[in-house]
Amino acid sequence: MKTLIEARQLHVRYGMHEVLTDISFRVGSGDFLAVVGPNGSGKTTLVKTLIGLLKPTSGSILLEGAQLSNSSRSVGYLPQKSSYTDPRFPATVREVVKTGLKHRIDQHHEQISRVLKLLQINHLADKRVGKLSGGQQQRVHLARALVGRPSLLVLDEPTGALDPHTRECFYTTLQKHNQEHGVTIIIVTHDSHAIGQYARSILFLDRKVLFFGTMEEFNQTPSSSHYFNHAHDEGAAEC
Amino acid sequence: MLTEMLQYTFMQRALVSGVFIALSSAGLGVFLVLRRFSMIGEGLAHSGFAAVAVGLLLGISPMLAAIPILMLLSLWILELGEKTTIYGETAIGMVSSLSLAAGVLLASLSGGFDVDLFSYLFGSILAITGLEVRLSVVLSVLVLGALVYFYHDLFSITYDEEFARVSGIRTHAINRLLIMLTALTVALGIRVVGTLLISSLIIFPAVTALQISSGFRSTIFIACTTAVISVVIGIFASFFLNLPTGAAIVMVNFLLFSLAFAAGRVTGR
Repeated sequence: MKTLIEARQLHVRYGMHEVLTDISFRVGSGDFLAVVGPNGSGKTTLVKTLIGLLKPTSGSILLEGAQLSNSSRSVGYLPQKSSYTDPRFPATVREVVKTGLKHRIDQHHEQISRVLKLLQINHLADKRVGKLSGGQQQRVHLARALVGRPSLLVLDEPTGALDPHTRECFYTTLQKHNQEHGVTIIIVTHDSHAIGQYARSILFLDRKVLFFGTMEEFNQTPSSSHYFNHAHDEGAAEC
Repeated sequence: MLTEMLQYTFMQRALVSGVFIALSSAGLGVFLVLRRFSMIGEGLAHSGFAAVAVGLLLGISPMLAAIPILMLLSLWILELGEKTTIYGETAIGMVSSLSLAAGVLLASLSGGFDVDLFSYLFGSILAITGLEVRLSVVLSVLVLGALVYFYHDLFSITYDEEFARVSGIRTHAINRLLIMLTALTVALGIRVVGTLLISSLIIFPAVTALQISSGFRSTIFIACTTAVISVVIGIFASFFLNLPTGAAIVMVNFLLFSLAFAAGRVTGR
């Protein structure tokens, strides 16, 4: 599998506090990678570094063999809390999805309509985003991430606010994009069911890489269940 | 009576410059209000008093003096908020009160000015000069042009700055552009409604539009329409009822906001 994105000896530090230590891994084109780990393990910091929102203290990231630049359009991003748009914000679905495109002029009507139809939200095109349900908003922001036809889609805990049915639909849509359109997916999630069902690779993080490999390799690891319990225990301890 | 009124040169000048400044301040206002930047407009407006004092001291048009001064102050506010431990709102308060104090000191040290400083606090669009009309039209067109050209980037960072950065938009530069355009618009608005009321031209039309619009483009369209209506009615009211123009414009703005607020409640927005 051709490498799409590669992290080389990444270190990220906030002041004196090292959040990520010596992170190295490669994600192949068309892969579906789940990034898991306990709260405070640096998952969000890692994805933000991968997409250029944070600069690593040292180390480098290569996207399609080249240094990651901010002008790169081949990355789609679905941030945390993307299902909580302020209901007072006056933006229609179509206007929001259009921000996923680079060009300023109105020549992408067809491209926007296609992605809205694909995500089954074309009937909401002229509705105000903030007035939609959490699941619908999530689809709108997924449409925004996909409309520019990215080769890499990065999602940061996208399903936290969704009910089980909407969550299942959401993952099915992701899987369809991964399998039929070849979009490489990196997803941060606590959802062990989804990881087991949809991910092909897994990166277990706790400030450093504890495990990186395929799901088969992970399941053969004697301590695989320990990792998940560890993640859940850490999460529960903070409640 | 209306035809007679429009034959006066000062009325023609007031209407032309007022409409252009209303369009640019309202268009900009939508981005500022939604980005929670509207207080920068307020802070810069207060700083405008210092700029007026400098202009009068140097014997040049206060509007001309205000443009570079407010642009520099706007960048200073942004830098203080971003690169120091000072909160953004605190930086606005510091810079605006400092420049207001500097304006008062300048006015005092110069032994007072020949012109009425009061007119710059509350506006005097009916006394606008030919040079100021040309300046306000050209610079308003510049602001509107920038808003149209950078619309996609401005909308993207207003809706979701983090996503905009990932998409390759230079958010740092666009934020600076937005603040500089605000400084320019505040400088232009000093003549229309004065330094103490200019933020109303930026904030009111945007907030009025937000009560009844659904999309972003329609919000900008309604804000611009509201601003033009309030400036035109305000100038007419000022002429016929002998009212201070700046205050009349603000009152019409408030009236339009109240109507939109009621309409928004009725339609359930």
